[in-house]
Amino acid sequence: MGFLPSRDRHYLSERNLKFEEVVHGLQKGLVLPQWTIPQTRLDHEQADLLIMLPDGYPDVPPDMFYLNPWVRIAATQQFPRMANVSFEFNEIHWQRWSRHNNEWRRGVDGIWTMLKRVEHALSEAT
Amino acid sequence: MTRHVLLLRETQLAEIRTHFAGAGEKEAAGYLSCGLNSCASDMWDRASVTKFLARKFFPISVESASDQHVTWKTDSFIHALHDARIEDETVALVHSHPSNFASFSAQDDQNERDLADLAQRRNGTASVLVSIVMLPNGALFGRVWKNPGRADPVDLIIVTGRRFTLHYANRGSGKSPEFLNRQALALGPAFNEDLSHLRIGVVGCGGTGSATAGLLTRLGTKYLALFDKDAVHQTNLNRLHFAGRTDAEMERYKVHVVADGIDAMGLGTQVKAYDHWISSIECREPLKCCDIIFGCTDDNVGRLFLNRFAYFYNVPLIDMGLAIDVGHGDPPRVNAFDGRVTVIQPGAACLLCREIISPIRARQESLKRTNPEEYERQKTEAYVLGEGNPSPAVVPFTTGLAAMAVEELIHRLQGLRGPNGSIEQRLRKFHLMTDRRQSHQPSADCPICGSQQYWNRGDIDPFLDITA
Repeated sequence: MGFLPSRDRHYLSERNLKFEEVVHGLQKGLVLPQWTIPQTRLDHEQADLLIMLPDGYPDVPPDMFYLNPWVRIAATQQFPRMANVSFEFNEIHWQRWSRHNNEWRRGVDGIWTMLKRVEHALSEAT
Repeated sequence: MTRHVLLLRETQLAEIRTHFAGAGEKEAAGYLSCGLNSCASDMWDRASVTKFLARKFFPISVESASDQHVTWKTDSFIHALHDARIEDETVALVHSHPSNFASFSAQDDQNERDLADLAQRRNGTASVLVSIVMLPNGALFGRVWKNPGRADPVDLIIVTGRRFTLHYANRGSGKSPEFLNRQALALGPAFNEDLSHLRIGVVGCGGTGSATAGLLTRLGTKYLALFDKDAVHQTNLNRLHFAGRTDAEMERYKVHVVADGIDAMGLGTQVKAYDHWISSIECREPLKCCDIIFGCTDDNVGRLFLNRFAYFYNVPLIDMGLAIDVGHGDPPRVNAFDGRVTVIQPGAACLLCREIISPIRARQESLKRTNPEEYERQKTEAYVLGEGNPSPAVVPFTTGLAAMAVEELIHRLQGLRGPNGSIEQRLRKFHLMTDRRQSHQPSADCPICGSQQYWNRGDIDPFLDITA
């Protein structure tokens, strides 16, 4: 039994995207293992992607996202802006990407929107 | 023993009536596709409970009919079974008895046995057949075929909508307890009887919730469930009914304090108390057993959860909120002193579309509950707003608001306000001494109230199709 709403489950299955529904304490996180990072200036091509799902999702928007391993700007070996704080979930110290999401269209947005936001944030990372 | 309940919406009943009226003095029939609400154990009598939640009505074209029989080809039934299997639903047969025969006929027995047999052969042995009969005066009764050899009665049929109408065996012949005599003089004896058949939940046992629970007890509610995670604090004592200073010193859970107070009244109310978040697994079965919910919570996550629940399970949610906004000065200048009561159910705009719930606040509440350390960190980083100052509250207004909400239930059960008396949303401006009726339209994209996909859907995985 999972906690992912049916539309998201359907979306991820249809696109053959592997995912894990992880419960750690009272928190729930959707993990996409070996998520392909868009070709950018970052030093990894893949990382596990974590999206925390708040109680009430998808009536409530998800907020930030997290990566493991931590990724850096390849040229400078610096962490990208607002991506240098650690967040512990399921015994892993994830790299927190403080990209906030308060624009959420109920009934329209879902995991697909969040993945677009992640792709956008990674491709724009400086 | 299983208690069987059928939930129908007023608009569905109107569709059925129109179809039956078209047949004149002859019998007519149709199918209802039903979602399921299964509870392993009712909190009050420990029986298992199955509620059938009517989703859609399909009229049947009959082959032959008289005032005492109706026959049709089974093709349509097979089609209905096919759809039910895909959607994980149950098929209910509904037909009329224009002769006013208030029982199942020998012909009904024979037909339904065959259909029950067919249902099990097509959809598996767990598949049941529900059969409902409507009499010319609108009375409804029914039974559930668990297999072709056994039919159990539908114990209760509830029609929801602008009014809440109950159908059960021997309605009107019961005796109410003596303490309700004066109430029966005002509202009639059937009201007391109806109320004693309902399982009522009160979510939130603060100022409005404790008052609501007290009013429901005096009104003669037999089955009452209270839900609240919080303990009593000194600052609650200005408005929390049943609570005393010792309760605050001992930090007792509000639900236990209120339940003890109700028990001490000795009026026959069987009260159950749940000291958990309403979205927690511990509250799920008790909530699913309830027929009506009073929403007396002020947290966004809880409201959001109940908001979905009302549509999925066709359990009317009578939600209330008090908003006191005062400016500077002594005494403070009053900007708003508003009490709101909203009835949420399929057909009405939901609490999100009415902007009564803030999704962003709900997210923050969720973070605070599930990861308090991260919540505090994000507060220092100014990513979350924090809780702000405590809300002002004064006992006659919290109690008056509870009375408004309970009045709405009384009208919907009994009809004292007349044909246009049901109020979807009532806003009382206490400081202006006015009441306003407010109506809202569902947002077109709203998955909860803007489409019927979730209405009467019942049990699915994940529960309410939401993360909780």
